[in-house]
Amino acid sequence: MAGLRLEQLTRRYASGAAVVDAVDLAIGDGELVVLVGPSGCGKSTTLRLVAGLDVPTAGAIWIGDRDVTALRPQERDVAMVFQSYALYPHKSVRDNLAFGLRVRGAPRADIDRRVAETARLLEIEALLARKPRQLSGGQRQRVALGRALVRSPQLFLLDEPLSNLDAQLRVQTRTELARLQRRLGATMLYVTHDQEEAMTLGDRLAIMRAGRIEQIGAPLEVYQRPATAFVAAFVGSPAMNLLDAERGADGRIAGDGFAIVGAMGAPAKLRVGIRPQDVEIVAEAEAADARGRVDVVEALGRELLVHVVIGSAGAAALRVLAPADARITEGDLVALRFRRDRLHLFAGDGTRIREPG
Amino acid sequence: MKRAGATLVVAAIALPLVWALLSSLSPEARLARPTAFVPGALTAEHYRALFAERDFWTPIRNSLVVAATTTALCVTIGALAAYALARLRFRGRDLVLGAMLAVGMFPQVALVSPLFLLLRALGLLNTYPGLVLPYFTFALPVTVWLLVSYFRQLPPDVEEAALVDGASRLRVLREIVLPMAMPGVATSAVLTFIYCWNELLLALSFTTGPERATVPVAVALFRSEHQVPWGQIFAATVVSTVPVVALVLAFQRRIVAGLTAGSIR
Repeated sequence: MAGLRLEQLTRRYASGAAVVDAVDLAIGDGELVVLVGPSGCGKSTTLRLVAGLDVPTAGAIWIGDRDVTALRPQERDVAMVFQSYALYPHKSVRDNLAFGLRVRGAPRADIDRRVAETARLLEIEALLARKPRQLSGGQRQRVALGRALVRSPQLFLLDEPLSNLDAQLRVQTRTELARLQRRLGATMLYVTHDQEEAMTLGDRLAIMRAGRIEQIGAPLEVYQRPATAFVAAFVGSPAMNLLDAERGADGRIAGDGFAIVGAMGAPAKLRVGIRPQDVEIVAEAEAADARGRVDVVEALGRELLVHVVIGSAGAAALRVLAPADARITEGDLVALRFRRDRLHLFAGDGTRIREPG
Repeated sequence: MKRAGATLVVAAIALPLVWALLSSLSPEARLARPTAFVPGALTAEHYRALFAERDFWTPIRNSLVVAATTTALCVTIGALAAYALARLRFRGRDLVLGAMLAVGMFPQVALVSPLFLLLRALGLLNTYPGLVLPYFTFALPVTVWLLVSYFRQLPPDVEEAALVDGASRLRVLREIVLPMAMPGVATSAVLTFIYCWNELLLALSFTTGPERATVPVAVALFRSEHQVPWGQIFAATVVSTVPVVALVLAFQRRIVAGLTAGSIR
């Protein structure tokens, strides 16, 4: 295993548009970093650049202490799990696993031993003689994983490996993958658009947007201190509320339908972020930051997700999490209070300007 | 309705073959009469004459050698060219594809004389290479076009997986792409073989004696000034159909779609 370092990695189309724009990223030996972002943000292209399947316009890629920027995929000693699995359809599971070892000229006995070991690890021993078309989706996914594991490469690249599994199997496989990664001490760069998957799997997350990394950090760090409004809205579910606001002459921060009393120093124009669980529904008598009408109530099981329209008609509703036993029905008028120590303030350009609390 | 249509198509295709088969088994005397289609006593005389009085084995051997060599060359080189054209990005790729199509559109009859001079200068008249080379030239564009479109349908992920696994491009082509593209490869092989097997114009022009004459040339030369041995011509037709039918049947199992099933998703 080895670490990975990307230096000012850039990939431009012929048109000049940058898909990957000056990305810097360092992954430690044995670390799992998740590259996460909405579709089209350049995360898959970054992965393909690391694999050698695409060629960077500028920048460098280091695996361990080797500069692999100019190397072909065959010479990089990385393994990749494709979103589509990309199994060799005409080869048995055994030959799918053995192919990478065979082309690298491993001795026969060695190949057999490692294929057997990997098959045992992933519990696919019974499938070794089958062809990919005879496997279920979950089994194909394991074979794709096995094909990467069997080679013991320097680095694993995973491109949305769980996105084709059904919800239950996805969560199960996710846990298993995390356990496997810790146990093998594997260095992994993992791409997904699913922020929940990213949060649960990653030692660290790198949140990408429009070809750039907006923030790199441990899952909780990113969740608690999002560096930009984009990260704040992207990470966490249900998503953080982001409200346009202005600082009044009296220091209050106010916007469409709300006014936060006793607020602190801030620029004249800003955005206020507050997570749904940090908004409390309070009795009318208390000093409320906002009042509004309940639009929709969604029962999530453990709690209720309440959409409250606080601003002028047509404004986006505020997402509020309330206890499951709260008696709230659509059409109710409610008073809301934002937890002061959980407010996130962002400047007009989206960058964070204040620590919560 | 569907069934009736299918029956009609089969009948239309089978009729000439059945006619040839029946005629090849009918005595020469009956073939000249207008009622030749009415079956009567059958005879194997034409087949005996074909192999005993004439040496029909030689043209069959010649045709097999020429067609098989051309097919092997064409599919090998065609696959290499087609894979490059399908997957690699380089300047003038579309130009190459267009130029190949243009070659295929040349009327062959216009090329007979220059090719004859060329082959004579090279000392290749009346040799196997003298037929294989022009056949290869004419069959290659079709093969390349067919394979390019077939290769492009294949999921690139699978090839990329093989590259990351450590395989060279050539190995990816041989061990991953060609097996997946087998229906396309088999189709182009059959088409090339049939083209070489049936080709008359070039073969007639570039072979000067019976020792290198192919089947169509040999059959064309059956007729003499005084008579046309229809029975033997029909027998030769039937005999020369056999290798093609055998080839198609052999490849039929390979020409099945869905070879990539299970690879992705």
